[in-house]
Amino acid sequence: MSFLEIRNVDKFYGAMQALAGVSLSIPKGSFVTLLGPSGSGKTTLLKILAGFEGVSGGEILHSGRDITDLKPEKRNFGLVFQGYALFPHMSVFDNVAYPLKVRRKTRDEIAARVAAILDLVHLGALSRRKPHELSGGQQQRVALARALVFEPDLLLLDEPMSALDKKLRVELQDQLRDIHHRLGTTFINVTHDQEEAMHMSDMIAVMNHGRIEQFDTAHRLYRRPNSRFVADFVGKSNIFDGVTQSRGAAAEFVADGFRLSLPREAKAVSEIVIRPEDIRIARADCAGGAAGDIRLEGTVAASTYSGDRALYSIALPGGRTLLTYGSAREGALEPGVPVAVAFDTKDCILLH
Amino acid sequence: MSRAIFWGSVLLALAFLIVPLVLVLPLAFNEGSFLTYPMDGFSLKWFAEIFTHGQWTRAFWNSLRIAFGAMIAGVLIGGLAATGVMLTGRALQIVLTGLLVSPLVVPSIVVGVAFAYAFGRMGLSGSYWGLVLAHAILGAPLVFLSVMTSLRGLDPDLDLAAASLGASRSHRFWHVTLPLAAPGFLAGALFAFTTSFDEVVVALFLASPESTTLPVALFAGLRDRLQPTIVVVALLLSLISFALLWLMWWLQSLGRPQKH
Ligand SMILES: Nc1ncnc2c1ncn2[C@@H]1O[C@H](COP(=O)(O)OP(=O)(O)O)[C@@H](O)[C@H]1O
Ligand SMILES: [Mg+2]
Repeated sequence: MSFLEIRNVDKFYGAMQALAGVSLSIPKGSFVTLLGPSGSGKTTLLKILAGFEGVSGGEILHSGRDITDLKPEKRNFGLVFQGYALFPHMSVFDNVAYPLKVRRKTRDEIAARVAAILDLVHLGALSRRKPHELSGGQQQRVALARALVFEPDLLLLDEPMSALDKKLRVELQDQLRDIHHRLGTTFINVTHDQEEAMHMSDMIAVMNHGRIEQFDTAHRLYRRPNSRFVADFVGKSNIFDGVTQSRGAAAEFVADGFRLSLPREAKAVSEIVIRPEDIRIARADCAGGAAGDIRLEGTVAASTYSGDRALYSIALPGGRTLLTYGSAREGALEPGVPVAVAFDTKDCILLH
Repeated sequence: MSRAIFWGSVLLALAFLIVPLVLVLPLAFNEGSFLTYPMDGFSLKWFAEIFTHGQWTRAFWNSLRIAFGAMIAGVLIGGLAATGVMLTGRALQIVLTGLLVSPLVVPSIVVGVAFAYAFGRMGLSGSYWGLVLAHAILGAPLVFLSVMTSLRGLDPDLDLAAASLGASRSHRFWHVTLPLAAPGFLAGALFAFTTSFDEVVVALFLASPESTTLPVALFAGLRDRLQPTIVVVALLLSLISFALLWLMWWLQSLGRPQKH
């Protein structure tokens, strides 16, 4: 029995199904991210966990106890809202002190705990300010402090970074990770940003159309996606459609422009995925060329130079394009340059 | 061109509203005892008359007491109704809002007759409480509407946030919803006060000689003796209304924190 069990949860809004058979086991102390495109049901699941919405089916267990119908104020879960939802009529101190006042803590204890948590989020100096006198990043940290000060069993975060600019976001991601390490509280974070999810989480649940597509570590999601959706949504990828043909005892995957022999025990493969960093690239006129089990020829269609390397988009004869990284030591290859690309069978991810 | 039309119509509207007041008000300072121009000279004697004559001061205190009582009762009825209605579903909200606002739509003469008849049977006619109750019912819809507007403007996430932080429904109401809706309650209270303070028709039906209000006394004075005292009372009433308007504006600017 894990810390938090979500079992077969369905949610309907009228005829519209926002969640379909969602099941997740969340270990105590972990940092879990719900990742999915807009409208995939992330907020709905978070609201159900917080107790703001009922379920249409299924149940939620917290340490073995059924909390499906428990009121939000009885759950002892912290929640950071997308828009922060700070109380505009209270100072930073009073906002953070609110959950402690509700719990009838003594004045001294409140002062000490608020001070400690504001220090943790580096806001000690601003405790007298009103929310509207703070920047977006500061407001977000007040919301975080307020949701953590009462030592909740679980912290829920609904796209806490989405309103912030890129640089600040990365900074706050590091801070959040750090706070998670120090407190050991279980975090469930929601985002549509796969980089943020990979950066912070122990486990990621990829959601699509109200379903959990895959619940795995970042590494496994990236290297072993179990669906086309996950392969496409998490990281950059090249996906080839094709058919599986048996050839004597062995089987072969036949795609547009190449064939790939499959391991004997493989089931029928409908697509293969190959990550850009697993593809080697060389100019077509280069002596050694690109070596690998599968070699394809094409021309550079576009390149994005980023100093350490270049991301190429290669036009293949069949009309499709292929993404690959290449060395940029001598600068990026010009568009129109004929190139050879190659990759190995062992790096191909097979989707069934 | 469009600017000219804009300013032209604004000035016309202002003139339409203000000119009658401006024409009449100087007569409060008339030396003579008629409401006519040219004035016989400048004098404050009609002001003195108002403040020494028991009839006017009594009516003034009656009005004030009734308006105050009607304000408190109106805020309770309208404010509670608004907070309650906000918690109901969409369809019920429309029905309840219609019912609660209906006293605004019914002609005041009908309301006056209804109250006179009903209160007569209950023995409330002519009493302080009868007037307070009647005026409260006229003021409550205004409180209701202004509190509703305030509550609608609140971010619903604030209540959810407070709930997630462990606050019970009543704690949330007293510490989050009410403070944030306070401008709506204050504006509603002022509306209720001015409505009662200015009200003539219902008061005419319900007031006895002892509980007569300032507008009713003014109305009676208009019939009996056309003297500058009436204009003095009108002037004082206008000043009070302006003071209340200014107070309302000031309270609203308080409720809206300056963004930077
Ligand atoms: N209160 C609601 N009433 C009706 N439909 C809703 C409601 N809340 C969410 N939905 C629908 O449920 C789906 C999932 O929404 P949501 O959980 O907000 O997605 P996400 O947070 O992943 O963007 C969307 O199609 C949305 O339109
Ligand atoms: Mg959302």
